[in-house]
Amino acid sequence: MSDILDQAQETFVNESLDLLVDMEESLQQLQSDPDDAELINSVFRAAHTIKGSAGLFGLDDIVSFTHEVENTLDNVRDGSLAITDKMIDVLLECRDHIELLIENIGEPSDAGMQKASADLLQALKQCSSSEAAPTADNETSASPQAQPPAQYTDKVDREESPRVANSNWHVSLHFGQNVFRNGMDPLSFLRYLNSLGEVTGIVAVTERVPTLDALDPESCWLGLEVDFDADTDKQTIMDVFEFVADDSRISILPPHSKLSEYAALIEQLKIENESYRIGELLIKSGALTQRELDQALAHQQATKEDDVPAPLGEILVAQGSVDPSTINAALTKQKKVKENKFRESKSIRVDAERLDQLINLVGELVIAGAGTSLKAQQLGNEDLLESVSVVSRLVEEIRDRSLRLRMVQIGETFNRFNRVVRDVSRELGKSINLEICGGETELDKSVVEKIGDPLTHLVRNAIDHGIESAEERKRAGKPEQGNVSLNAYHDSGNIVIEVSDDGGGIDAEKVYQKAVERGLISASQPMSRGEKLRLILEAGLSTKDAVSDLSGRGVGMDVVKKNVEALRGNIEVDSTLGQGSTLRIRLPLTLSIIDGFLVGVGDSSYVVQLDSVVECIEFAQIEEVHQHGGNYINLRGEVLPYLNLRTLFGDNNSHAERENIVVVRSGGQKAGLIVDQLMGEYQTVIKPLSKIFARLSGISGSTILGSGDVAMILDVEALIKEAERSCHGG
Amino acid sequence: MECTIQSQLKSNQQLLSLKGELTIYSVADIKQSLLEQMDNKKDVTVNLSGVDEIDSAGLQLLFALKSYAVANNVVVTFSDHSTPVLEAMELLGMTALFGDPVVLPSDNARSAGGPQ
Repeated sequence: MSDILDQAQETFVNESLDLLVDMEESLQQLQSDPDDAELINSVFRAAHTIKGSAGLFGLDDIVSFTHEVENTLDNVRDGSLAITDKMIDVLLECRDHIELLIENIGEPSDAGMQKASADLLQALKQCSSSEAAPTADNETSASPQAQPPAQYTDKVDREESPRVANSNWHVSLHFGQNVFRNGMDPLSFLRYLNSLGEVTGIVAVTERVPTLDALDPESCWLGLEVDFDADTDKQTIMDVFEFVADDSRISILPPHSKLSEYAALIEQLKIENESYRIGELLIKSGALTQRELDQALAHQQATKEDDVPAPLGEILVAQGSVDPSTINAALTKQKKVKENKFRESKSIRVDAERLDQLINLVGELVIAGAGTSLKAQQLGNEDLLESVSVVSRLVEEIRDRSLRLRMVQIGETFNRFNRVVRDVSRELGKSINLEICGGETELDKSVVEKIGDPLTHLVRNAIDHGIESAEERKRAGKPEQGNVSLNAYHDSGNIVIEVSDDGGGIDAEKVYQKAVERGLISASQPMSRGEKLRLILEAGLSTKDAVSDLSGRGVGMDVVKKNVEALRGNIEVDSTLGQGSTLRIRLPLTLSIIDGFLVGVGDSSYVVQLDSVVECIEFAQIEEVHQHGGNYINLRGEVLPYLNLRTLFGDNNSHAERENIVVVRSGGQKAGLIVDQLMGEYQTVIKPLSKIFARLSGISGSTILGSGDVAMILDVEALIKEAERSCHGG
Repeated sequence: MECTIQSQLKSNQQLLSLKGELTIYSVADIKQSLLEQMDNKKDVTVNLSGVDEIDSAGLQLLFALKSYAVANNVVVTFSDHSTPVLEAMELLGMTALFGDPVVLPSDNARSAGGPQ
């Protein structure tokens, strides 16, 4: 049973998070197009669905919070509230808070969170009450200052499944006759309740108490309708009455319960006692307003007629955890949203672990396939070779397709930055425009997940440090509005993500001096401009003199660097003083299988990522240049540094008769690698190296060849650097 | 700690005063005594100043006395509530039920109930 619920709850969490993504997008679009009814609707639907589903799982915190958000949205939807920038801000914060609430499901509710909820709701209320006055055309306009309570009842009227305005818990207690005899005293319960929160209204139910002559004074005939204001959960309140729970009837209605729940309570009490004026009592204790009571009674009639519970609903109702009307409403909503989703994009949710298993298997298949084709070649049977080549082609396709399963467009991640830019620029009082290019560029899902934080940091940095203040920009003759752009594209088997700004740029000399001051490098160390710029990625360096809230403490960039490196990527810094900076993150496309180019040096084989190979030439045909004490090759007039892999990897055995040069490229730089044999294209399953080899430069992984031999995968980036260094140094 | 009841008969009024602990331990006895006192068919004023402890059973008993009086067309008034009595009545939301000389549960003019 609880398994089913757990699963359902997981689905709820996933779907809610999706809905929140939609909600954020719509809210952002609303900013530029505040009158688009469809956008408001979609925000409303998201809040509404989350609320409904949360109710199913008894997640009262989420329900009560989302409910308020939904109310405001409802008012916007029917035109009694105008949407403003301020309100969008608050709604965005509310959205974040809902996300937080959902992420914290199952954890004990903490006071900080509840305070945050209350604060946000307060802000929301302020927004709506200050906006309501000029635009409201109904009864609120009668009183010049729209009063929140009046609005409240208003909202209740409009809601399809109305909730009461009462923000308190309502506890309905009907004690069993033996309560006194068992040594319990309702008075002590109330004292305890008062220690948990504030009893805002209480009415003693005395209808069942007989007159003195008929009274058995040791039996309890009392009942209580208690309105209770407390930041707590249902369980805590239930626990108060633990000892009398067995023979007493206790109903606890959370704040803003549905009218239908009150209706149910009223009905139940009526069954127990015809003359029991529960309705009046509820009004008296402050739980309901007269209007709500009337609605509740009407609702009671309505629900009786069209109750068709769904299976999950039935289970929950049988459990007694939820009332049927709640379930129905929530389920219908859920179903509708699901149908919508199907129409929009036919997608299936797959457990990430299963996908990983599949990709692992495909990896093994690729290796086994390579083995088979090797054997076939050795046998030389033409029929066999042909069928093996068909199989290889299919394997290759399967590999590509299954890897593509993990690929997602980076656009979604980029769009998140609209929000970041908006928030940060507000905070700093700068006007910033965000440009997004290449959102359709795909990369591995796991990479996308991990790149979000470093990117956020870079974007914040760009806004905080990069873009100057408006006055400074004017003085420099730039438009007042700063520009930050995010760009993604594929480049030789890597994906490149650029964060650039048109701000003040980074002063390489200043960075260098600071680094010397802090003792990160010694002053005698000569550095190129590029190297000096890269220093900003080191720990303990900040480019800004003043430390702001957001960044500038000199922690962060090194973390960004570390995160990127953990993804086998690297960062380049490019900056022109006065014109802006670009930080370029270069990441491998996937983390598991690549198209490789197999080369041989002596007895060993090495794999170079195919996309980074520019061309292969026989070494003897190439003119060597010895200039400035370095070794270069002259490739059709282009001077390139080169590296002899034989010397690099210390293979001192026989000299090959014929050497070849593989020209490789990475991030705009080229270099030549001297190898013995060119063995052609090879599908490479990357096997990570163990930690011992982590510091080994020039090698990024290993792979298993068809013959069973191990080949090293070369880290082209590092080799090019190495080539340049050795050439410079002679 | 017993609960005692003292009775004083005036012309058309009967004065009762309760003393001690009006709790589950004494309600059965007190009920009997109260019933006997009510036989006089006179209006009753019950002085509660001497009640130094009261629980829900005690309050229930007092309420039953009131409704009994209504049923028998006599007036029972409680006077000089001691602090423990007042506190307990307030807690249980019964002040309105008692404080008003006319015992009408639905009359909420001076209800201790919520703000709405």
